[in-house]
Amino acid sequence: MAAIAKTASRSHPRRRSELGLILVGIVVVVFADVLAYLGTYNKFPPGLGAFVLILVAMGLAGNLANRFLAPEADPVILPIVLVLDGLGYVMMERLAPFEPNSPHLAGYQALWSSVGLAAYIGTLLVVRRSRDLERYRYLLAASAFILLLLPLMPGLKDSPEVQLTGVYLWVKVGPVSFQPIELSKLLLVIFFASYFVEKRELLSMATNRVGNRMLPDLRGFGPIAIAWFASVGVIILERDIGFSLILFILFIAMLWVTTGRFIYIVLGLVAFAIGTFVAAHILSQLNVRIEVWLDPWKYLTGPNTPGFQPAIAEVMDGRGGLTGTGLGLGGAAQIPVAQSDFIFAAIGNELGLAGTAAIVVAFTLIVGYGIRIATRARSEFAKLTALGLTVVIGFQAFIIMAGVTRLLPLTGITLPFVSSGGSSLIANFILIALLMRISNEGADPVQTAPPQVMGSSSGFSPASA
Amino acid sequence: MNPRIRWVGVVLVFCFGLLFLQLNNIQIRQASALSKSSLGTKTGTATIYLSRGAIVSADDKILAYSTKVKGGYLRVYPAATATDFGQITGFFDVVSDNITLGIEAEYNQYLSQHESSGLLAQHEATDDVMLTIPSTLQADAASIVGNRAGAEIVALNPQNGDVLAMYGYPSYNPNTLSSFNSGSVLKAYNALAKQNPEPFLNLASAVPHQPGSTFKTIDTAAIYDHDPSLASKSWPFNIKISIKGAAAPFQNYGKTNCGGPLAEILAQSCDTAYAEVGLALGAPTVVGEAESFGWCEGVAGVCRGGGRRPPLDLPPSEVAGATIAPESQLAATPPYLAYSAIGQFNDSASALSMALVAAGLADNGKIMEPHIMSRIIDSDGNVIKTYKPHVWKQATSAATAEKVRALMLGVTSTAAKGTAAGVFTNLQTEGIEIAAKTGTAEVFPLASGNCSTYDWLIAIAPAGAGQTPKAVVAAEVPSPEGSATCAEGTGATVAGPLVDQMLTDVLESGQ
Repeated sequence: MAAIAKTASRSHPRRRSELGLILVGIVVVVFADVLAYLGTYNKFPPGLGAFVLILVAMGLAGNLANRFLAPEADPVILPIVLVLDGLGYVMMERLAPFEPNSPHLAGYQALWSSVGLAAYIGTLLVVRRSRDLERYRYLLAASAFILLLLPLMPGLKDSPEVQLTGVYLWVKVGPVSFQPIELSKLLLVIFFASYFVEKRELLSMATNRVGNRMLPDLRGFGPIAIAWFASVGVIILERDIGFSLILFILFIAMLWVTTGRFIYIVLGLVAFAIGTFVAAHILSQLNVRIEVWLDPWKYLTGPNTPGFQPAIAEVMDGRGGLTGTGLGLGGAAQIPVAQSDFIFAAIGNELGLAGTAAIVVAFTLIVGYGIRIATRARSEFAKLTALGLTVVIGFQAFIIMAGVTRLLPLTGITLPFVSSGGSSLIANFILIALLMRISNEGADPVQTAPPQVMGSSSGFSPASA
Repeated sequence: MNPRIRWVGVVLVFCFGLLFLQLNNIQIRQASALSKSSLGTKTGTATIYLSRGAIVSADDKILAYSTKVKGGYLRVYPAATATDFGQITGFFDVVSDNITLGIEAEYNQYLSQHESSGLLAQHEATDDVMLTIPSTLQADAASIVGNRAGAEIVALNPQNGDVLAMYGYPSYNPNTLSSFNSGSVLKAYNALAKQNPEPFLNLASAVPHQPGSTFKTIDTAAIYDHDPSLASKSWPFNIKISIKGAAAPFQNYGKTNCGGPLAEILAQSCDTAYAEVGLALGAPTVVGEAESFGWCEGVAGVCRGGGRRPPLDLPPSEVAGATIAPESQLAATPPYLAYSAIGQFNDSASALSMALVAAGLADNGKIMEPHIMSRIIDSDGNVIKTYKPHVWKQATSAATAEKVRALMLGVTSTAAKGTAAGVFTNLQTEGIEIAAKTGTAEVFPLASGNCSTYDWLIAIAPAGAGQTPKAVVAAEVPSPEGSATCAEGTGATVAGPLVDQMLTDVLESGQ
């Protein structure tokens, strides 16, 4: 093993950096695990040796896969992802004794993390070139829409999570519940990217004059309308606001990046405002959310009243202060759904501003590297795909962290890699794998295309003009 | 395309920047305001880093204290008294950082750290809570009850309402729930919760049962209070009677043939006679008399419309009200009234509630408010609060109480063929007169046809004419279906020895 690593690292300096970063990350996660265990159980973690071995094995597996499958890809993203994932596991272990309904919280998180990593490697194995994805555009689009609608199927919509939350995001097959929308968001990114690249001319050309302004061909608005209806449909039918918001931001961002026409952003915002307004009148839940967001204390009369979740999250964050109470020593167990939507508040309580800032920086870094990968990608399709993936993971993280800290109204979605939940973990590992694939192509000296001209001041770079 | 891609990145980084500002706002700027908010003071971690005051028995044994260990303050319940007092002290719940049971909860505002105005400056301090219960009597109560599941015993001083002993089995050792290892706490909690009944609540005040014939003391008081002519009546001898509207005849316990004057039917606990007493008094009088003894209309310890409960100083979840079926229901259905008059149907009382009935009869019709706290002492040794005895209810007149108590002497008398004759032989040979009432509530219908009873005894001592009673004791012991004692289980044979021993200990202790 050591010999392979040695020879491989000579040829791939980026992978050597990655391995170093992964080892640093393992040290962080192991320390966090020991502290959380001491705090929660007041004893040293019994299987620490095995835990370290598993972490090293997962780190090496990811690193080795990258050496062979994406040797020139970015060296920072995977270590960040593994640290977030490890921290999520530590939080599950810390919260598990307080979740009598899910006693195997930590075990499942470990299992899904391994499956997620396997999905990561599998994606790198199957998708050898980003352009392979472009070929199956309509198949992917159809799958995405089927996945979106799956939770509404009569036989499938009776999962315990649906009954518990009233949100139709889960599908239960056999003993396993999963959220198909997590996978569907990836498929939609790929579909949008390939569709927009093909229809770019049509979407960008201003052919209609309205007053003194030129507007693009009305036919271009067809897809916008479809996406708008899809998002609002998801809000109304599946009663979820978080994902529909992400899908809509994704769509508008990709459309604007493709065409450069500001009008799409304006129209998109207007459309979403109308959609939200209509939905707020149909769904009382949305109205309550907004009022609770403005003042949770007004809706706080007991543990199950609407103001309780945001109020206690804020109190717990406040108690955390600068450095937190210490892992396992805080009141994280008193936060409802601390293992999932509210994991950020649990981290804020026990690791303080230091911990929450670290999470924010981690996602900022992922976004930063994602944007860099998009700008360096060799094809327009790859650029748009990388951008879309970055937007999805970045806004998903932002929307839930902002919801928990009351910067935005709360929408129930997972914090990528940290929250519990298999579908979220697997989908986000696949997302990272696709980013790594595009990153590898962008930096691959073997490819024939000339490097991108960076920092071009014109609206269009040469490759996309 | 690249500049626009970068612009998207700028927007995202801007969003994360806003998030970082908001985190600073919550976690630094508003941090202290948030932890002082209504929600903040009830939650959080502070408690394990803070010491708590001690809980001390009447004989100065420390029952609970905080000790500083690595990682915070641990609550310790000294082993010698831990299980005896488990249901009294409650436990400090580190798992949910919540205190809901026992003295720990009821006097949390004194036990937990709070601001105390000193001579020169305010400082954080804790107070100690002293109890009325001596560790010796509580230990006696625990050993007397033994391992009879669901048994309850209460000893009170009727003159001032001091609780002298209060114990129900199974109890628990709160130390198993006091640990920073929340995994082991949960495991211990779940193991305890599997017991029947669950040991966490103070069983003797929290779990009511049918009081059976001990309720006849209330009927008797009702006769003197509302219809004295019935007191001189001689009640017909019967083995069973038929009551209008009842499918089956109303039958005496053990199919005995009984009747006669009031003194005789109380001493021998004649069910048919008391059924007729209840019917003669009528539902308003029976329910009204029960209410004046602190009972209320309701079902199994839950008073209609919230209602009263004995004002014991434990959290409300641990004190169940004594209840009788609604007046309208009893008035409409005579058989229900007949069964209510002998402490069955929907009658329901904890050992504490029956001890309070006895206390009212012992102390000139006055029921003193029962209490466990005697005084609270601050960290400088000053007494900051002393419990001042006061009357909860004037249940009946002094004259009625005196008369009922006198009749209850017959229950322990061999000459009167009392149901509890022979139970208190030792005390009686020392010249101590004891007023008592037995109860054997039959739980029915039973599908198997086997018997299952709640066996009761309430007693007052010394109860001679003109004497001032020093102690009342109430004990309830369930005889489960098919158990060996059940066949001949009665209040006297099953609960009698417990009450005899408890009374002896209380009188010897001089409390």
